[in-house]
Amino acid sequence: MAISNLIVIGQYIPGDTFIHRMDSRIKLFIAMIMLVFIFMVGTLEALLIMFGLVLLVSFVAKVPFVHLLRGLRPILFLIVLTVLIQLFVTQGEPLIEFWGLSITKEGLIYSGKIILRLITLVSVSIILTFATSPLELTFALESFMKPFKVIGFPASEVALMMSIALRFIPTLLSEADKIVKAQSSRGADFTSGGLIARAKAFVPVLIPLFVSAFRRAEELAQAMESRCFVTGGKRGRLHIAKIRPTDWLALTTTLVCLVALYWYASI
Amino acid sequence: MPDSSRAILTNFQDVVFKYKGEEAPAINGCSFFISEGEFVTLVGHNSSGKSTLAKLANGLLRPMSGGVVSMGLDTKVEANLVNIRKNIGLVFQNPDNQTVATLVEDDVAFGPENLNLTSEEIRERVDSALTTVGLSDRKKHPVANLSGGQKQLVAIAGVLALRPKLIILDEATSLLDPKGRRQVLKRITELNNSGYAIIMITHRMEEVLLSNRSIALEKGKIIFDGKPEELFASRDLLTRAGLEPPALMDLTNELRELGYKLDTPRNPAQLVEGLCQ
Amino acid sequence: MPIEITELTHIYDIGLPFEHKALDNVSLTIEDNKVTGIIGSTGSGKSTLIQHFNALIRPTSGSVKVDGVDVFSKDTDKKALRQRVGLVFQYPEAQLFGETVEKDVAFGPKKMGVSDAEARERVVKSLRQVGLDFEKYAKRSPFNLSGGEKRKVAIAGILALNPSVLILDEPTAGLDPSSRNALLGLIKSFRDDGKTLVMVSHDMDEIAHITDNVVVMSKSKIIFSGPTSEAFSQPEMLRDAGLDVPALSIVAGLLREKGFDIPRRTWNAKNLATSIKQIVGGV
Repeated sequence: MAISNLIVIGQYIPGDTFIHRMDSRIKLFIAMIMLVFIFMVGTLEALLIMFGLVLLVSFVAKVPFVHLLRGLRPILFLIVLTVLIQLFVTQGEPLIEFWGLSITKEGLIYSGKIILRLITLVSVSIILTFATSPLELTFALESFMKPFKVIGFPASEVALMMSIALRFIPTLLSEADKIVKAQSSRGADFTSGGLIARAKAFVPVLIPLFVSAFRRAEELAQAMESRCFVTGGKRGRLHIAKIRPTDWLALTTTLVCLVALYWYASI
Repeated sequence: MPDSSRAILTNFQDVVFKYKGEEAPAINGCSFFISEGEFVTLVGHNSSGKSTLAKLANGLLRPMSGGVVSMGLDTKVEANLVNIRKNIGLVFQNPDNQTVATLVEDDVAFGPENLNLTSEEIRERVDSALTTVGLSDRKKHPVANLSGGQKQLVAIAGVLALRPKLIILDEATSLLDPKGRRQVLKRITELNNSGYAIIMITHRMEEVLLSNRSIALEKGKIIFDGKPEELFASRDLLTRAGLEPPALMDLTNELRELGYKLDTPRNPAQLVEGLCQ
Repeated sequence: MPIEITELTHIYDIGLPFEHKALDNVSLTIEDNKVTGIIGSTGSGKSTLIQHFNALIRPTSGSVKVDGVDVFSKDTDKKALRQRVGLVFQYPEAQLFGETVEKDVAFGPKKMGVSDAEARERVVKSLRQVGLDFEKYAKRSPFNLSGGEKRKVAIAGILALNPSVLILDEPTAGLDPSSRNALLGLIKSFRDDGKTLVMVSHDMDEIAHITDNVVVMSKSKIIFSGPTSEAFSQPEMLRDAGLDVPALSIVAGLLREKGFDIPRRTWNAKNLATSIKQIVGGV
């Protein structure tokens, strides 16, 4: 498995779906309130419904199911670990008992909630980045950071920096992939041995990766300067973002759904 | 040839430049000028100073002694730089390291956005630059999914959107496959025909043949400035400039030694024609 | 060691919008003790193909056997395989990481479990093979070398594994003509050491110069496999694959069209000139 396939969060795939066309600020805002509600909603059913809604959105955005699964893989370990802990630690009505440990009904429900919360959380991020170009996403972030400009926070520069960082993630991942393969061809082994041995095995990957990243950064800086970039200069914008009625409608619908869900879960 | 009847785009006067920590100067007393509409190739071994010269022309580097005046403006004056760079565009070797945005049109827009133009004007420049390089159907595509040649055309479009007078290409075709190289060279020739001045840094003789003037560097000094044909006539100059004669040139020379009287051919058909006479 | 490739198919990103079939049912035998060139335009599947030879990537279907051993079998020791099948990546200098040239070149042999003394011996030998003096280079940092020298050190890092098959992916890409010629000379000398050599390139002059056999790839398939001379007398086929036809092959072809009986083979300037004098005459 190539490294570049491991990290799916942050991968943007251009498309022409309703979700792709939505204003990025509204999209980011919706994603943020969803994340809040994921932790506010307390019952298993409500979380299940919420996950269903997220799946529906991913269907509308035409996110392939494989893509979602791949995105979830990196947090699989985290899910298993927390579930195991909760399963045995939570006190309550015991269902199964062995070796002095007991799995309780409460533990089971609690674990279910954790799983749902984590996968919903990650799915929302995957869908957001899948359907929003890095440039739009950072524009949205910049808009949210604008108020801080008053206290001298360089919102535009930070946003540009982030969009360039996002643009270079795939480049650096495929580079890492290549270096891993090159060192494997020289007998490096990244899959066996203990944690320390594995960490050490990555030194021959990290050093060349850093060397290349610094070289790229230097060249990029020159290319940007050559194209008249001046730090702190006032910049124009190709896309003038406009929030359309459909965006407001999408926001209202989401809010109504979430509030209803919250109310349903708390009665 | 330097043509003083036309506007001078960049003018080097006894330029000396040394990188920090290096003993020998990278550029050691270079004087020349480039006029509007010229097509110049810049040749020389690796580290002979070619890229340094390119970066001196648009003020990425400033001379230690001597002066570079581009578009009538001194590159040593910070305030001149944006005006110089608007007019003298630089395309680098590796397209991956000069792409700032994910999508084609956003990347091309980067330059005009830096000039703080209106959205309409940026749109107009992006569209016309992409049309010029033949990529207007790829506007919304990720740059990463394009071929090497197309990526380099996006980089050229990014420079064109600044509406420059001179485009400097620093080994811009050296990482491309033959198809990509042909694609890019075709556009560069077209750009020159429509009035842009071109400086192309290259190791390839067939690319030198596209130009009207060639400047050869050796250890930071100009050892030749003239017509490509004159450069090719001297084996000594070619070796010093790190150029390798193409197979066709070798064959022509071998045939001449065997007693054939041949003109220097520009392509295989010309040679065969010469042979059959 | 011969390499047998049978019905190899490789599909990247199955099920995703950018799913891509890089190899489409490819079968091929790479002969022992020969230099085989793999040519084709970018994206034709060359690099994907060679990464199967030392089991760096697994195929979607099909098999690769090196010296009769199935490389994808669970029982095959991958480390030992990679020692026997040395793969030099495109721009291999990107893999350099050692503090010194010596440490970097010794990385492979040490990973293969060779003793310190033996590793040092191999470093000396492989640096010599790529034309770098051990005394002069061993203690230098690989990051302070010139582009051509870096490339040579990286290649030495693979040679130090002492492989029987050496695969080079675009070994001369991005080098200036003098470093390029030096490297091509070296590659020729490896053949004389009795190694099976595979070289991926899109420089036709290089391929004409150095290979015995050639495999032409186009759109994930093999469209030609056979002696290099035969490939170069089929300019149409090369053009269809998006490749440049070497200038001398074009001259030979044009003369044949004019009715001169110029043989179909690979040419260098000297022997083509001699043939032209014999067959075309006129002086």
